[in-house]
Amino acid sequence: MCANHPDRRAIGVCVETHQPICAECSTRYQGVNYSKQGLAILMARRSANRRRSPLWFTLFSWCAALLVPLWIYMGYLFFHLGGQSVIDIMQTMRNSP
Amino acid sequence: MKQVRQAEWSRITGGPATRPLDAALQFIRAHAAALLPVYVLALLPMALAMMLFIDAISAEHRTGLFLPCLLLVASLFWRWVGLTFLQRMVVARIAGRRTPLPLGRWPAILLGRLLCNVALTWGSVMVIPAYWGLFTGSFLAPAILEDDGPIYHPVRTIFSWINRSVGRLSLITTILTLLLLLSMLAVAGMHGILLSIILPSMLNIDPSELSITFSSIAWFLTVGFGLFALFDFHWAVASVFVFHDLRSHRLGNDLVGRLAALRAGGVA
Repeated sequence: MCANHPDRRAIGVCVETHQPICAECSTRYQGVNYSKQGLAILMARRSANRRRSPLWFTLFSWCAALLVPLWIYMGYLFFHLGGQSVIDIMQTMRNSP
Repeated sequence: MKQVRQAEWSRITGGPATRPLDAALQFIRAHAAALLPVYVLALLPMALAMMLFIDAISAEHRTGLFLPCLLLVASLFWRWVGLTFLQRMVVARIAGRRTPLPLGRWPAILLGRLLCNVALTWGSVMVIPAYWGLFTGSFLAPAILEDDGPIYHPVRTIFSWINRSVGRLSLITTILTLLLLLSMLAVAGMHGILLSIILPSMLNIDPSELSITFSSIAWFLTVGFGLFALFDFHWAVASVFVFHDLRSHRLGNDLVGRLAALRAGGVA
């Protein structure tokens, strides 16, 4: 008998809640039966999976975070080389006839 | 509430690519009193470090570049914190409510900004990393403010929107670059007029000393930094508008807004 309607005959079992469900309570999705609660569980799980960062992104973030001193050094180098280049240009311009 | 916010954004975004830039200018004019102090505070350490940097260059003191460069890098972090506060303020003023920015989100914002800065500076040789760096760095804070989930989602959203709006963003980059070049030309022209007409003919002042100052590298770098500050302030605000403009285009909010205007009998 259906878990929600005790007077009706169950036509299947929800793959999530494992409760017997009647034709009215059943939703066929991707070839299997779901009850209303089962669909809610499926949706919540998919939503949670979607909200999780993939492994490659987590690894990339950690690598990028560990390399922070390198990024900072590259920033420093940019300014330093820029300054040196400006000094070079100034000296070249002064020494040119 | 969300629908109200989307309608608000769609009113100020959408249309031609220049619309968010114009909207940002109008917003700055209306809220300058609140925005300027935050920006000045964000840029102040960088301006001081830049003064030392320019001083070391003028003195042609190569070993003296070490400290100013180090201070410049440190001031970048301070500037990014300030710009994030500024962008949050812009979002709050338009949305009508302040979005919380938990401490846990700050490392992601700063790391993202740092990586984008590396892409912007060292990647500028190859153009594409600089293009990604500029927009990703600028959109990071507004995107994180919008999405309270894992950082991956706002980052993925930004990349997806940037990749699908190459034409629109390229146009914005071109316009801003042309404006910067025009501003530099205007400053050079003003210098020329001041030295050749106003000072000697109208005010009877010998411009030779001023001419030496104007032709020095220190003056050139100072004017360059001043122009950078001007454009940086505008872009810090405009990037929020551009971000929501892209969002509006991707989610179709601009069309929803236009349809609503048509239904109300207005001009879409």
